[in-house]
Amino acid sequence: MTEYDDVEILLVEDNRQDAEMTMRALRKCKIANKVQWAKDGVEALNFIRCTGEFESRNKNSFPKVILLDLKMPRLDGLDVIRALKADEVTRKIPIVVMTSSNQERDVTESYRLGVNGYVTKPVQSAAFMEAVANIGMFWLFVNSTPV
Amino acid sequence: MRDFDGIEILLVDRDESFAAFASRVIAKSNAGNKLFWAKDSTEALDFIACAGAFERRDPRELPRLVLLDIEMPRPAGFSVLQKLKGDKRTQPVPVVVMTASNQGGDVDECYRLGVNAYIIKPSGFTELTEVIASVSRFWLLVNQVPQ
Amino acid sequence: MTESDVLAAELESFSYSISHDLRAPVRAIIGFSRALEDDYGVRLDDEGRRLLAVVVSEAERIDGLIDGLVVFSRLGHQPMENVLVEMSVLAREVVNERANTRPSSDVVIEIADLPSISGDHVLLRKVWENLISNATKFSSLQPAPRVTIWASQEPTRIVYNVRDNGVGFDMAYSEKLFGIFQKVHGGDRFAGSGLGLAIVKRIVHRHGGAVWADAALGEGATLSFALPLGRG
Repeated sequence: MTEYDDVEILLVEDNRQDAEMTMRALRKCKIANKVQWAKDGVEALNFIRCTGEFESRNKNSFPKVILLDLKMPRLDGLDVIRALKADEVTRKIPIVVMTSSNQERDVTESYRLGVNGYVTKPVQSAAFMEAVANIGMFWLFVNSTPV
Repeated sequence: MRDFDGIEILLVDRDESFAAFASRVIAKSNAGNKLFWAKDSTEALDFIACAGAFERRDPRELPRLVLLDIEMPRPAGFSVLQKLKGDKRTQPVPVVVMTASNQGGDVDECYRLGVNAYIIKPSGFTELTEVIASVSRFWLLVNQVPQ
Repeated sequence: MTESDVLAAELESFSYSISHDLRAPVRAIIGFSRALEDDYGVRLDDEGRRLLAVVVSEAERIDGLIDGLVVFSRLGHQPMENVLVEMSVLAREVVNERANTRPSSDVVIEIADLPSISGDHVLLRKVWENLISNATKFSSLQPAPRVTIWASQEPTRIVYNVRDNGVGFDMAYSEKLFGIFQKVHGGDRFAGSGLGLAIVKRIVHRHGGAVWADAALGEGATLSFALPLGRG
């Protein structure tokens, strides 16, 4: 058992402030206590695959949802999606893209690759908090994840 | 002359009272989302394919959300999910299964077929209302679909 | 493409990318300020809370400016429709909408009959929205605020006019009026995005028309735009 087990949400976000605001919103609405923050795609994949710094993580536990930014250094969001979908073990983990981009080609490509949802980050902080609350509420309490 | 244009939500469920209930809850949380109720898989498949009674529907027009009960008689609800996710044109449309079945096998099969979310219908009135409201808030207010 | 077309295209793409990159830090400023308000507001005195509120409202203002930039940046390359636009109906719609969202406003807006003209319905609506907003804003400080809208028909074009009875401005600054972020009045007496008239100018130019202003200090201002007849 490590601190990385029973993580409910994996937040993949390279912007520190956005990450902090997202985690704060989730805590405030008492939606999630166990949120793991990965600063980029490489860290995210290491977490899911239990490799690198996350070697000791329980291989049988997966987050209920991955909140994934698209524009990130080292490995961008679309590549993370491709990697997760290519592996039978990780293919079914729900992914919700959470990004500043509302570019049509990003939306289309993300859905084509098989993401479960796509959310454009609102700028107004009230709308942002509300969006995060709605996301957390649905994916943690309403949705049933695959076995 | 029924108007099948501008349908944003396709609700596929054999239970008329559930359909009426869900419509009301959805209408309350989001004004102006046009909902169409298909009472069996055949009607749903015709709607999607713009065939039969839905000949005049524009195939380029896709709903923002499909709420699907898999527990339906021949053809089974799975066939609707399969058709939606197997066809390039309709693959990006979010499909949320809402069903009484809590069988792990069903959950797994739906995710394997590419479902966006799986919800086990709660039996209590209050919980069911909350679940449908949460579905409405995330999938119709927050989630973004390709144009 | 003329040199000014090239410059315009570059300005548009610059506006788009800057607005995109600015949104994240603005979101952070607003979000963290609100977090400070929520978590530490009780420890601040009234003055402390006021200072914080200023930070939040200024950040929200930047957000509004960014929105204006995004609209502006798209104006050059969005495809334009060419239909007969009933300007009387359009102007009245815009005025009614404003009245609905500002029930307490006492500005009187008079609209004479306006001839129809060919153009892009959505873009021309934006022109009316911005001109009427501008005019009502400037006349709002008067005891009897009044905005008048009328048109005059010329051989090759129709000229539409919006007059306010506000403080007016010195004609020496009229060039700046339609510039981006330019304000001809100092301070924040007339808060606004500064882009409204730049957007009007861009839209009118895309229709092959022209904009200008006529004013005097203390005597209000008339903003006019002309659209050519026989387009398309």
